[in-house]
Amino acid sequence: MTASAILEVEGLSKTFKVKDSHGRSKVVHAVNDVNLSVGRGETVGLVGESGSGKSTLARLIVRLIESDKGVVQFEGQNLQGLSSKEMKKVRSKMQMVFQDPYSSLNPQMTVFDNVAFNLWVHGERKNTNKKVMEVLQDVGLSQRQAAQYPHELSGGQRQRVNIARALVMNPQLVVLDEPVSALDKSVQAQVLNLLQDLKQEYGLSYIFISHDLNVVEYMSDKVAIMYFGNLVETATSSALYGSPKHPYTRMLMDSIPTLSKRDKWSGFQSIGEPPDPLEPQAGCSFRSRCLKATSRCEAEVPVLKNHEGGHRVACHLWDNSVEPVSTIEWLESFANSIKYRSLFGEENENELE
Amino acid sequence: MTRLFHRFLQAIPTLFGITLVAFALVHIMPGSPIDALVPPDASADVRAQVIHIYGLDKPLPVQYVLWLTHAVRGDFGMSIGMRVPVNQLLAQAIQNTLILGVAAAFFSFVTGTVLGVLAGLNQGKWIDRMVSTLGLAGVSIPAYWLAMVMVILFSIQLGWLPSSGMHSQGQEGNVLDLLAHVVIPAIALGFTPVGVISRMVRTSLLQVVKQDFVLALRAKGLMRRQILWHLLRNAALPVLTVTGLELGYLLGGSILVETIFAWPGLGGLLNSAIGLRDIPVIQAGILLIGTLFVLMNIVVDFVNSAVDPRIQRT
Amino acid sequence: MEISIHKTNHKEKDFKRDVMDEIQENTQTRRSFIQKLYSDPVAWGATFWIVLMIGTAVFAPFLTPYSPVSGNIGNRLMPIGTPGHFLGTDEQGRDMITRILFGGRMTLLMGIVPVAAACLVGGALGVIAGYFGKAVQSIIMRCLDVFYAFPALVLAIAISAALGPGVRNTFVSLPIVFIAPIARVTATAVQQIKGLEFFEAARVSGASHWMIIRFHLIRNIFRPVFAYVSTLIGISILVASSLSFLGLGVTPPTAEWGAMLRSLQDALYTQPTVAIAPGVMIFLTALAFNLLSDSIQDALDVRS
Repeated sequence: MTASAILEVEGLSKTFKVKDSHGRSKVVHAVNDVNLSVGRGETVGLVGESGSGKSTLARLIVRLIESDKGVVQFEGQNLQGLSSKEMKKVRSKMQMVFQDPYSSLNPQMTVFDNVAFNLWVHGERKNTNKKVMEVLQDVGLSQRQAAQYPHELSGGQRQRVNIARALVMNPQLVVLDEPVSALDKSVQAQVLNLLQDLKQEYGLSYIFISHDLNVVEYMSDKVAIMYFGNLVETATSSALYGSPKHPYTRMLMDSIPTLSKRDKWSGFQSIGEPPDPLEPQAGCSFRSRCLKATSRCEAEVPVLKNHEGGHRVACHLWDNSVEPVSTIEWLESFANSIKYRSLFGEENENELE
Repeated sequence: MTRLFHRFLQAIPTLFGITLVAFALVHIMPGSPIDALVPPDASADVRAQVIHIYGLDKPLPVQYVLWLTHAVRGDFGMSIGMRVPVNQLLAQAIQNTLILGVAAAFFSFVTGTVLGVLAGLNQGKWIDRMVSTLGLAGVSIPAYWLAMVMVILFSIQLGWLPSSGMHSQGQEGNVLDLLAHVVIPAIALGFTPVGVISRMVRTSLLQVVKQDFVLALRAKGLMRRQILWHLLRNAALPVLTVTGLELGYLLGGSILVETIFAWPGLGGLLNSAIGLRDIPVIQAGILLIGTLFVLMNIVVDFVNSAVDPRIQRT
Repeated sequence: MEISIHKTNHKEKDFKRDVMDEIQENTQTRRSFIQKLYSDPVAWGATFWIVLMIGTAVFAPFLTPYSPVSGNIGNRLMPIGTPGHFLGTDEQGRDMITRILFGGRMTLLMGIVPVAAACLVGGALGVIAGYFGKAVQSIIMRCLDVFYAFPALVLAIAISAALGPGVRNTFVSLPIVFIAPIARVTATAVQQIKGLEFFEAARVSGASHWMIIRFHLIRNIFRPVFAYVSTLIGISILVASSLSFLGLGVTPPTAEWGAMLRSLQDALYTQPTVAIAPGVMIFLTALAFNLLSDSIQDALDVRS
């Protein structure tokens, strides 16, 4: 544990019981043995496709749902097993911003009331007016908008209200669950810049969840890649974007629609859709989409191992700490990729967008 | 078939609850339950016997089990008012109620469908508004009062139809005579569901009209009448469901209507039992109606899933 | 709770959006609800009749010189249009207008009070069932299922028969009839709201159950529940008068429209128009409440 960490997550796991299409009970490992730490003033990006368990992880961290296993330590305090009274104190320091700007605000309360509710909860009847107005101003909303109802605002404005609601408690850590993915591109940039500014102004730490690698790169100091409930790669932002290691990460990088895509393309274009979470496969969960899967990947679950200077990867291919691709292999997969690219390329891009 | 069986299993807790309610009726009423079970002028011997049979001196759960084992065998004790076994009374009454109920259901189903189709085909026109007003009037009108008005009109003033009873003197086997007797009560009883059914027919008709296959039928050049047939077949399901559920209402309403017409059915029996505080009869009647209602819901469910493959699993 | 399964995600989002759209629409009509109702002539007519009934019920003693419970037996069953007794007299020579005015008091009370009482109990049960998870919900709902096993009228009759006749017992049996359906409608509304993110946001803020229910739940379920409850008043009036007609509700000599129909049953052959007069009042009043409820549902835009 680093001394400056505000949040330490160790071995966090959560399974859901669901019924499959035949009515049989199945267990889904939504979050599986996740370790993560967030330093003070740091932004940790969490990336994954939809269904990868990143939203569940966020809800586990703020204890909206109870974990099966593992520890969440906030400012050195283990949150598991705290009474609701003790938890309430922590909650004012740890807030969350939700994805959907439509359903995340109470439609029957004004913007002001939506924000002020958090203060009422903590019994702060004094200065409510001043505090709410200040924070609304900080997120760029006017006095007039404070008296309006959420449906009278645009999506971007609503998301600002959402942010204001989280900030009014003066939190240390804010978990941002896809805060901009429901917004138009032009509005996204505004909200992201706002989040950056507020981070400085309020001295915040962020956990920033997104499926958009560009956005995460812009926001984060550290990035964790999540696949199927597991963290498959964590590194500093520059290390991860500079030299992505896990095949899945590379696949994600490849699917970023950039103008200079050809330059970045690493031959890790992958195929197919994620496997059915109800029928988990043995070994590495990514192997069915990985062009480099070996027999070892079928047999053994890779664990997150330190590779170099804090860059950690969960992949057998990187066990020897060297680029695991021989020239012939590379050419082979290159040829395959071109074949698949023409067949599936478009589809994959859509899926990740 | 297994689904039907499954559905029955699901209903068991509810049926259990019904027996609890029926059992509780005797115990929430003021006074000792023994007074509810034997006529007040019964000899001490009889009283002692009943106390023994129903275990009235034992704790309540034991009493419930005893009562239940009797009830399952169809033994609901003796009617206090009429001094005959309750199950005899019920067996006769339920037949007569079914005659009235089926007649009323037939009336409301036919009238409701016709009105609903008329309204649906003339959406927004005066006839549509007429039907919807009529429907609202139907659910606002007290069935027993409508019965009184119809008696005044058709029996007293016009003399067309008999005003009460199920048969004229000496005409017990005559079907026409029975029909003449059943008309007014069936209409009075079936008037309320007409509004509900016609509204349902109208809605489902309009929903089906919006679907693509109707356009395809038109494109095929089918006659208006032929298209209507297709529409009705597709709109029939929700209407059948509603009609099935309205049967429950008919069971309740029959208590009122049978009273007015001296119809010798379950409702009339219950009403006279209520007047006499004849608890064994009330208890058994409630149990019977509740069970019928639950079974009817199961059948409606089952018919639905049998007809429409889309609602196999719910 | 968002269960992270790839395949269900889409559907769930669609559903959320639907619920939100519905609430949003309701909020948008926040101000126009009254306006919509205001511009509906049917609603006006119905409201006029209801207000008239309430007014005459409240001021009944000042509107008539006669007593509602005692009459002149010599004047029994006078026809409609008799001087001094415009609607005639009943089988005991009591003035019909007086009886109808006083009878309206009971009928209105029995239409509104049981529904209001059932609304409190059923609403609370529904909120508890919907809010506190599956186990609580299935316990409450299984218990209420028993009440669903009976047609409303049969249940009311059964309870009243066991408790015995009298107004007080009617005020017990009628609410019991309405509790189960109100609880079910409320629980459904709660569940729809519960999946939305503002609910989670409230929990992240550390709000107590009571705070969440008070600020986030009740405000958002009020409209659908209110729309449903408004349909019950007409039914309550009908069931209550049916009970009295069967001799299970209001007992003589108290005036009540259903009880009046009962006691006038024998006069059906001699004075039919007088005998059916109370029924006209029941019909018109129930119709007024049903029409108003229809308009309310239209104005709230919650009709299914």
